[in-house]
Amino acid sequence: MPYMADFHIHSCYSRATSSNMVPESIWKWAQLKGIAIMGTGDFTHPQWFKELTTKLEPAGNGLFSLREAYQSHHIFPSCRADVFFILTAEISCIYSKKGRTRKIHCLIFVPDFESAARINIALSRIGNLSSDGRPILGLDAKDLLTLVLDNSSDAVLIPAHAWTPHFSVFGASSGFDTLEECFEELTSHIHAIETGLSSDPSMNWRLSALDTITLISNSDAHSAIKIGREANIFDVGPSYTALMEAIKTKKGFLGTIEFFPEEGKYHYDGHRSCGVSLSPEETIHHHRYICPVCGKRLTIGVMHRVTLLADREDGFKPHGSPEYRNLIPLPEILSEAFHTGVGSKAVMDVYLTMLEQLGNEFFILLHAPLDAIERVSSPIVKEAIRRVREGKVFIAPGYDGEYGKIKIFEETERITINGQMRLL
Amino acid sequence: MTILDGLNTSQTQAVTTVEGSVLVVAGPGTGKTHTIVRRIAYLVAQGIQPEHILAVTFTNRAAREMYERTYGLLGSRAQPIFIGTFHRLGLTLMEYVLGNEPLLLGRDEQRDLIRSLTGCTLKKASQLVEKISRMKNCVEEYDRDLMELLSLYEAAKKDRSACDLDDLLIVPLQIMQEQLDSETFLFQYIMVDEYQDINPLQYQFIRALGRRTQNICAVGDADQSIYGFRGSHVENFLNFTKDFPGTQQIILTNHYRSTETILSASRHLIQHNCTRIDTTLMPVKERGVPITILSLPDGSHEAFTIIEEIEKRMGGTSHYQLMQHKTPHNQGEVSYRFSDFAILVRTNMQAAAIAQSLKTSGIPFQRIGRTINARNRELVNHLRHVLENPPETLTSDYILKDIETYSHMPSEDTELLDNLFVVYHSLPPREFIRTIIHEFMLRSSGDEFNSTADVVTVSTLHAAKGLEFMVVFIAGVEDGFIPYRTAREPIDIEEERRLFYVGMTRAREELLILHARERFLYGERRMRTPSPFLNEIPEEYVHHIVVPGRIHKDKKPDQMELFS
Repeated sequence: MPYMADFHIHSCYSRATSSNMVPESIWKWAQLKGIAIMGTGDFTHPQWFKELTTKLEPAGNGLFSLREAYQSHHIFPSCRADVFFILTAEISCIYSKKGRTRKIHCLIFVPDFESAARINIALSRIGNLSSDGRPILGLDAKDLLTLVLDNSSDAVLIPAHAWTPHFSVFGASSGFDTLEECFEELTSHIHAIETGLSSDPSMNWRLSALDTITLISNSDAHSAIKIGREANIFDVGPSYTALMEAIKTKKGFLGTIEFFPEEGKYHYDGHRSCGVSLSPEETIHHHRYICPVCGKRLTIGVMHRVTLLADREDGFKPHGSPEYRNLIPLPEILSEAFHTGVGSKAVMDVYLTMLEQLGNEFFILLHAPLDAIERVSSPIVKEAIRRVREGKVFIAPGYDGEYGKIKIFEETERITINGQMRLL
Repeated sequence: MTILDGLNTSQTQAVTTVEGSVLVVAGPGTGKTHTIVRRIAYLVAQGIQPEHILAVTFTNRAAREMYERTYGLLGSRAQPIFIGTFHRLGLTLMEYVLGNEPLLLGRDEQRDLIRSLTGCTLKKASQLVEKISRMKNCVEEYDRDLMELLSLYEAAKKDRSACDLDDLLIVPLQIMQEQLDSETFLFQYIMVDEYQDINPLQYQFIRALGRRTQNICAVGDADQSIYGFRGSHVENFLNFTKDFPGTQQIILTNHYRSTETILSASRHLIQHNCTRIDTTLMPVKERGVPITILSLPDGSHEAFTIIEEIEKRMGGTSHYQLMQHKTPHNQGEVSYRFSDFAILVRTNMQAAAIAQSLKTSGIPFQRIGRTINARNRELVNHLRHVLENPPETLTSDYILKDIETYSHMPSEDTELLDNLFVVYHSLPPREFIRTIIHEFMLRSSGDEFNSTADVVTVSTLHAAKGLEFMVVFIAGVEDGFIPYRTAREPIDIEEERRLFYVGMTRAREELLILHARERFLYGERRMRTPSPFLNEIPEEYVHHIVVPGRIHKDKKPDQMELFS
């Protein structure tokens, strides 16, 4: 039975993260979202690590369960399911290599508390782990990989949101052009990259250099409701070894759930503060990388970087690549359907009703019969989900830290559909 | 000949002038270590036995760097060359004379010994140890009231056939003075680095060595003499040519480190001193950017401003930080790393405050020049005690609880213990304790430069000597800090100026000087004025930025009127 996994989230001890990112509510929201395996995030943070060692117990398979004492019973029966945790962390490596500043975020996976603690001890010798759940270290990403493997031979390192301009392995501002430039002779230990919100697999397929690399996707959630906005689908027995093996070999790795990449914060080029959003074409040919408003160099987005590094045309699919689905989180769909804020009461009421009546969010988005959806919500929600499933949405691309703007309906349509509902 | 490759004229002269006494005046950034290392290689190439060559440095760090670079040139032939500090040299000589390594008392053991002799408090004992050391180093006059204690102390040491750090120089010195004709010390070519910083005892030691060979070379810079409080006298340096008649003086003139702007500005500053050798350094680099003098409304803005400036040059260090900014960051080619930045201050208290802010910001940093963490040392001592006198039921849990109740540890230490516990709790308890001791010892060597990871350096001006950075911030450049004024001691304005000069000349590309107009100090808010030294830097080298204070709304006087 295939299941979902979201490896990359942040705890309440990370910068700009919601206070609800605690084990109890992560466990609960994983069920509401339909995630079977959750990354803990932030195991390098001393307080979070202490909390994890207190509240989680080893499940014997390299994964962890929330201790029963911390499990809430207030979860819709329609969503209840087993949730395993896997120990993960993200490190921000900031260093200089070949005369340029490099800033690269890396995900680390380990199978047990001992490995995590050994890595924490080693890292705390060279940096400060307690000021942020995602610590900044002046450490070369390759040296980090060495340190991680030295302390746990079963550990896995995966470059995070590999295309974002400021903090990633292929980033325009401070990344590299190839994995080899970054990891050198240790590149063979890199089996996967995280595509990030602003890119999806088809963009990555344009690089033949990534044919052997598994493309994983995670939410990078800073609050519980954003858990699972991107995720991985596995069909292997739930264990640390099986999951990592699937990532290494792509066997049992069925694919990913993706944002529409346009919705990501760094899909296009531009300047947030200047309100300038440009396609790669426009940046290169019309503006020559200079912002038409402030005259400074533009922030180069993910689409642009992919285009620069690609050696294949758009639309190429390497043989045997896992599939993926572009989705929009249900609260955002509801927000667009009702033309109201994503955190509004109107949205939350319908959202929770749908979860209670139909099941977890992934079931609703992917499988729930449209009629059933309409029955528990309204025709416009049914129509919105239908269009998302068919990819018939319009999105003004995100740029320079600004999320893309989703548009599922024209203003007149919304009235028509609502009108029809009223007539019925 | 490859040894002289790439050396400039004055460096070549310094390298090849090996006979007789030589004084090499090596200002900041003139390639001093480079020159010394080449000089050693040159000596070896001339057929001098490596074991006849002695190079004395001021710090272990300098010795290590010098040895590594010499090894790079000479390979295994470098091994017999003695490159080390005065203490290291003294220890080696004592081993040589005594035939075995003396039992060396550390500061803690000296303190305990004094306590056992006097029964005084810990604090008093520490002061006495300090005082005795200053007397033995001829930094202070012998205090008659302490002579009895001193002789008791010396006798007690002798009973245990132990010696303290100061004896490492005193004992060999006595031997040299008593046995003038002995062949004991066969160094024939002696080099002393940082000669301007030697204290009276070290001075006597060098002079005694100098009586055995004519070939003595002092390297240093009078303008960087900053250890007056340890008894060093810039005059020792200036008098070298008199102490060793016939001295050839060589001045290294090419300055490779700083931009022309930074070099010229610091020269104007130091020329206000009288006790010095006037030298003119020639910049190799271009003019570069002006020195920034930032006037801040309040001392509490200081660290924040510095962090902002670092972030700006790095193009941001986190998404969160990028999102806080209205204006786009520099998206062009950035090449900085954390280790390109240093924040220098006059006192350890200031360094602690800056370190705290950096810690909150998440920017990795290291503090150098800090005395070894006393609490760590106590914890280690305590654990050793537990090892020696274990309770009947010694378990890992017991150890953890014991440590927690034993001391109020800072959170980072508790966190480290938590991690150690997770990894090592299943070890036998004694092994577990040893692991903890090992880990804490590893972290308590305060002045070591960490090379695996890049970090911003926070340092006192004193401890920054010998280092260089792309971008240097000097914070708290206010009268009272720079020059530093205390009620207790008279101020040596020339030494304070030298100290500021040392700070300025650490910068390769950019120098930013910060001062606050107001500061919370010693329990109250105080007005501050910029350091008088800033007036000695000509305006043409400076770019001023004045950060305005928040405009305070006038208190409403009419509210009072309601009640009148």
